[in-house]
Amino acid sequence: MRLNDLKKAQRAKIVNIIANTELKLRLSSHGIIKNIEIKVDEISLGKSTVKISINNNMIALRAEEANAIEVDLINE
Amino acid sequence: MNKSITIALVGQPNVGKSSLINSISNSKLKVGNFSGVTIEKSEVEFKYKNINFKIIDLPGTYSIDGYSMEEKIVKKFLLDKEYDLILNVADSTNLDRNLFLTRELMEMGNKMVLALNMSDEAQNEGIVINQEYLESLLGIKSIKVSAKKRSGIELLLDTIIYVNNKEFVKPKIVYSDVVEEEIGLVQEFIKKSTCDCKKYDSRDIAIALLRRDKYIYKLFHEKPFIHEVQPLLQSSLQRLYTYFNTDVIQEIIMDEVHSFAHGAYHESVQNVAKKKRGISHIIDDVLIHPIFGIPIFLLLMWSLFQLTFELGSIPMEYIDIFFNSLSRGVEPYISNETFKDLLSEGIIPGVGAVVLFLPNIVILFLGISLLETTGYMARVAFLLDGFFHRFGLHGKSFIPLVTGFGCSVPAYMATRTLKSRKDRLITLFIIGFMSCGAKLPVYVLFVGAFFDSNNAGNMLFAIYILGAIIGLMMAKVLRMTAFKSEDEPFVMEMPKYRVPSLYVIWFTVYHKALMYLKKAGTFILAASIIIWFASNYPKLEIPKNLDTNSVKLYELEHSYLGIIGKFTQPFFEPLGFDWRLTVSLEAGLAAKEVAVATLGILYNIGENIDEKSSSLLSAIRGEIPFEVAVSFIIFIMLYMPCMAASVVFAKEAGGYKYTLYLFIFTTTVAWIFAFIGYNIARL
Repeated sequence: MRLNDLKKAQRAKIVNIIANTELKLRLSSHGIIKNIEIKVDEISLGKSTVKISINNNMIALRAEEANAIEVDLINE
Repeated sequence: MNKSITIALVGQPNVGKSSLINSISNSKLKVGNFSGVTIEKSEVEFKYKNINFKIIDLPGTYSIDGYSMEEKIVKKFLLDKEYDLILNVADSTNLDRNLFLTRELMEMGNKMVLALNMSDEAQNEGIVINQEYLESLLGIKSIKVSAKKRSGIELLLDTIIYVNNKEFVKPKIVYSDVVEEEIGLVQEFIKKSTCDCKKYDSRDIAIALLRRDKYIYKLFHEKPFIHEVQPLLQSSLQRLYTYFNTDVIQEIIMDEVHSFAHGAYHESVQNVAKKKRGISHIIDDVLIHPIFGIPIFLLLMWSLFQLTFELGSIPMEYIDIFFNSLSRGVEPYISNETFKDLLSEGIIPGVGAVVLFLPNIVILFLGISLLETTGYMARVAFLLDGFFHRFGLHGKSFIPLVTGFGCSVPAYMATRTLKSRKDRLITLFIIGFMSCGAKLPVYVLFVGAFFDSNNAGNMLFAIYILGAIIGLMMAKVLRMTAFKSEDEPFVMEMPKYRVPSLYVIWFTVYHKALMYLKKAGTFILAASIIIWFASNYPKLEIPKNLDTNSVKLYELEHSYLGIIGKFTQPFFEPLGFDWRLTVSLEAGLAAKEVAVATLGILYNIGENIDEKSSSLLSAIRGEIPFEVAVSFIIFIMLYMPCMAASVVFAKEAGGYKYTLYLFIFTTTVAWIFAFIGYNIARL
């Protein structure tokens, strides 16, 4: 599944990033890389942007970018 | 030893670089731009222990290997090496991500000191950093500091002096075993080869070759060595590509940098924090709530604009009175007629018009810098990006665009909050379509002349909305044509909410105000002299037996402005404008209110005309057909912003050629829509 498919407050692990180098580098400099655990904090109206947190970090992504991130849901 | 030290200050955004500078030195910051781009570069100079320190604050950036403008600028600056030492500022509460940049900086091959800022905050959050161990892992002196509490500052400066005086020791950069193996192979080849590279470290060359760094190819340009090494390099890279499942070397390096940063973090930092939701998460529950988020934002914006334009109007009134009495006050003291007119009708009102906007600018930027330093601006982008992105804009474009309804001058300046150059340019180009306050008198005059008072309010509202809609449409058009490109990725840190540093806010506002007065002031002064000249010259014999207004009319008709108006009138013929409307449009280039005053003179109803004057209303109703009025309003709504705004626009867009583009763009758009309006109204 993709990051876009997650609902608010769900946790997931990033398994793959399907993007060009530019986007990969951009994501990576914000700590968004493979094998990292993320949590969805908020999804804006119309699902156009999503806010996630990684450890101590909060990051906002547009739906297009979030769609490049393949995740595995972590069930609690 | 060295009597001066130049420091390049590098760090990720929101790590408190500016407040660190402030707690190091109270000296005045000098702010300039990097040549050719509107990215700020600030410098501070001070003395400590008899050494002259110079700190160059580089733009905050998450990485130096990416594609964004900040990243390229920082990297270029660091490579050009006009400094002695890198001071890397990191956020202690977020060291994992911060060490990513640190590790990239280690490759610059320069002396470096790491300042672990916000160490007090980290302590409160239960983050324990074993800084000595971190130093040994990185091979870089690291100092715990807190810019807020002003702790560790002296130790930091002493360490900088110490590192600066010592011989440079290259930090130890270790790669993963797979990569190390290939480095070894290439290194061995270099040692045995014919390359005359004894003066370089063979490991450095091997790494540079594997990274496919351009400079290494330049270095060995046309040497047989560079060809001899290729087959080995190819097979090494191939193995790496297979192992890392990519064929882009940058991605492999990125992976390596991450592993290193992550490893260093886990070995030197202990997080004994209680699993508690941070305060920022709780605030975000309200402020970016899917339903309440936008209304709360709109309320905040409404208050800010009320403050800007209502509170701002109080000092504006006094400024206006001051300059008016000044121009009248100087008159008796000057005997030379020409010089008297130039001063009292050209220079003083011109400068006054600049100073007039100062209260607006100060209040608005106080608000905007509050929004930025608290961390709320990133939330605004999060909330509004969905809507604005559809028009090829960015969520943050909202603030400059709404500011444009007040005045384009601060609006242009507010676009600095946009980081992507294309987002910024598009926003700059459409701000003028948001009708500014100065266009209101023109609208009021024409709406008042053609609609009864019940409908006037609605018509006025419709005019504003139409401008905004056309603006958004044009943004889309620009994005699809002139600024066509892949969207810049929207990946944005949402910084923790922080109580803003008073110094940073004060400095932003002070600097904005000063910049406005200095730059705009000089150019607007020149422009107002030109406009004054064009409407007053050439001096002619005025026919006798004319009343006061007729004299004015005669003078204006035969002035350079009038001549230009008549000359350009055929261009406006299809829109139905006669030479008088043309002249007042062109006079409106100086300031939109001037259009009304000019109409007053041209339609022969005497001096001191404002939009409420009933004789002007009836003159307009009587002499201008309805369809011409429609096309005139549309043209006013969309054409070139005033002189003051154009100067600021050029500065923010990055050159006067953009003002020319803006002129062509707005004139074309205004002409087309006015033409459409004219023909629809004629039906």
